[in-house]
Amino acid sequence: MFFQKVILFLTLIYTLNAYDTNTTKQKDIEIGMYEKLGSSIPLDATFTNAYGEKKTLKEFINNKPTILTLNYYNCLALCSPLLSGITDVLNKLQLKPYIDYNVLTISIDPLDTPKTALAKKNTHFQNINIPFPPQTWSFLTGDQKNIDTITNAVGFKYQKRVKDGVVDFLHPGVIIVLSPNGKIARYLNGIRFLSFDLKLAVLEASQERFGPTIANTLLYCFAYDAKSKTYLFQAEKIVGSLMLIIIAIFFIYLVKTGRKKTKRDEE
Amino acid sequence: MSDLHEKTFYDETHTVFGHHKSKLFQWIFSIDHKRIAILYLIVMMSFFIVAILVALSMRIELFSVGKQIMEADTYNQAFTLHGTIMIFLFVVPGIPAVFGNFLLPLLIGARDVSFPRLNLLSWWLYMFGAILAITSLFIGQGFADTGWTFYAPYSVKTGTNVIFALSAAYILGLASILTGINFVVTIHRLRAPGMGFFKMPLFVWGLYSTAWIQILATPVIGITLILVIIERTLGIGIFDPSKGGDPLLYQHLFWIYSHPAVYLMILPAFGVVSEILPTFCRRTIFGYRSIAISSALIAIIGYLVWGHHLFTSGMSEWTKIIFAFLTFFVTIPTAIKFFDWIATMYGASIVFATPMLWVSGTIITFAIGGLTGITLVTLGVDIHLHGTYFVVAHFHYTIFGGVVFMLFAAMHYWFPKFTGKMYDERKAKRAFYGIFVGFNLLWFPMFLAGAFGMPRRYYDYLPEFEIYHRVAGIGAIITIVSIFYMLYVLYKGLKEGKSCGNNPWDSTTLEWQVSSPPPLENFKHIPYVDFNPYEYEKGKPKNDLTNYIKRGKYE
Repeated sequence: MFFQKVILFLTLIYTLNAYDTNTTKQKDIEIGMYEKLGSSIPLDATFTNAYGEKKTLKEFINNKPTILTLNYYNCLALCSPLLSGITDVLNKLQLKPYIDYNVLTISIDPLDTPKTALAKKNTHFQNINIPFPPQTWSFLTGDQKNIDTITNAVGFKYQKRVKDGVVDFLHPGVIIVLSPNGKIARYLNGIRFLSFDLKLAVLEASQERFGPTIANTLLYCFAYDAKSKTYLFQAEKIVGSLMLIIIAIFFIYLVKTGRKKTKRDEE
Repeated sequence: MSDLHEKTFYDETHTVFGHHKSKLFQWIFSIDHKRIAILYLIVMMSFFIVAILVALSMRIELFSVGKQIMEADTYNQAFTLHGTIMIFLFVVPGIPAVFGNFLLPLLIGARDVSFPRLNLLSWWLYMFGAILAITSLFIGQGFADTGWTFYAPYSVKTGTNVIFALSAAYILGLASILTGINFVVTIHRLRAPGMGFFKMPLFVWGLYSTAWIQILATPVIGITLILVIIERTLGIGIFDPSKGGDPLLYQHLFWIYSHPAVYLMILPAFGVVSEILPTFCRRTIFGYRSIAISSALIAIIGYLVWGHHLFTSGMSEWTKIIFAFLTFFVTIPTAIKFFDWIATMYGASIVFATPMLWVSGTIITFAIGGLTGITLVTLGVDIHLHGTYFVVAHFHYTIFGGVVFMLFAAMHYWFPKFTGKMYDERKAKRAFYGIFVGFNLLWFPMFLAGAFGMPRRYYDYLPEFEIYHRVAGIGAIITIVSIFYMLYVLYKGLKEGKSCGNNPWDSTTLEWQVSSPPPLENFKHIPYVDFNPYEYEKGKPKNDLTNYIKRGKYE
């Protein structure tokens, strides 16, 4: 019922240090992206791909620029749009998959299995309509220890939540571009990405250049209850109407009085 | 012809203290509208030069892929500085502050504006705002890096001197409102006897519409800027969704002012076109009434279209469709003006003096700017183009190719009126061609780059966009060199130009019928106006107004 009263706005807002402000409200919950540009990720952490093969991150990265995302495969909200955003942008990227870059999606849920990973992989591969070798994009699962290693290394803060017996995670929407040596080259926030941004990031990462986050965007998904928050609009309406009335009176006065007669005119 | 030894406004003046000995004080405290206009001209042109040099530094940064001369954060500050100076200190005061102030009383047969002291106060407020903006460059974390639009919530959160920049914009807004009130009252109350609204020169119509926009729209931006300052200092949460506020509200409030503001910039420029055209076509302007009324219509419709800046920010589909539809309406009065101008030129023996050359150039550049505006307001297309260089190109084609070109045209057209001398025609034309070619090289490639996906506000880009940035960079250098050349030609004209009599162009409007430069208080006798502003017969002005004005009605 609440949602019927609520207008949902999705806004992309330009902000540089967006995520530190995201967390100020509730100190007990720390969710967000704490950027660690240029630092290395643990290349020896091991994960299992959708085909049950266990490898280190170094092997998965395979000495190429790599696009990393952190999701979980039962996610009901942000992950699917984010992964769809990635398939969209990969279709437009104009780089050669597997030759120019790799993609890694790591589950933050230790209960995910290669089976759920494969299901997710198949779903998203249906939307890729360019020649795309399957080994380019790996959907990984791992144990809690390895998950903690990678999320801490990239500054990804999330929370596990159990509500009505359903386990889900509160987490930010972001993709991270890694250099061939496993250093963090750039963060791209949001769920939809410009191919321009991603291509620039991948090209820079391939040269081990770590630029600042251009167009650092924060996805604000907020509820706005128009009925209860009307004070400002009321004030605006009143002040605005007053202004218009005063200006209208001013105009009528000018039209009525007409040309000003001065003594000099009579000279 | 009037007596050449007559005293001009350069020789004597009224100051706010009555007479004052100091030459400097006679200028900065003068209440003569013509001196105030020249004060504005000097300060505005100085800021203009600063802003084009900042723009040049951005073009150099973008000349090649990767970092050239500045960091990304510096680049953000550079485009904010460029935008803020150009918009708030140059284009918004622009033509009204300089040419409106100088010419309005002359065009309507008045001795000054209605409130000469208020006029001086406006200039001082403008100076105060300007100094405040400049101060913020050198203290704390430097100039704001938000872009000239100061979008919340970023403007609430950034560490740079946003409050300074906002206060400056607020004070400049106040100056703008006061000028608006002054002009409206002057036009209503000080028109020469006999001059009805439809006998006013069209530049006055442009100023009149502009003045109403200044009065009605500027308070909205004032309140909005104060809201951001309150947000930064007190953190009430007006634009913060976590406290029940609405970040989109800022964009709405901002564009409720800033969209009418672009008409506030362009309407006086259209007025300049309507003055120059009949003079150099040697005939009455085609469709006087439709041009006059279309100015007022543009001002009115301009209020109802702000939402087209928010198509990609999050609005309901219906709202978007309505705003797109309303925006298409603006094209109608604008097109009326264009067709009237072209009809005036059609079949006329056009004299291609420098001001006319500028007008012809503008008709091309502004047409490109205006038509790409229609492309942008088409909803589906805007989703693709909104965040790209296409918008940058569109904006500069309208504002530079429209407003600034017309400011340059006015500088040439009324140069003999301001100084009593003539510049070198040949060199002035050369400067025009330089700027025109440079301008198109600079901004046309941006349409292409934008359509192919080059995002705006970026300090770096992909290698395939390098060619567009290279061409634009070369265009920028040609434009800036030519602008300096043009200013040099005008300066030479001021120093060494031949005196050219009162009315070198054979114009029909009142300002040319007094001596050049005009005397203090303009008219010895207020003329009685029972003729239309642009009456030509066989290529010559129909009425011999000089003697008419000397004689006066009451003599």
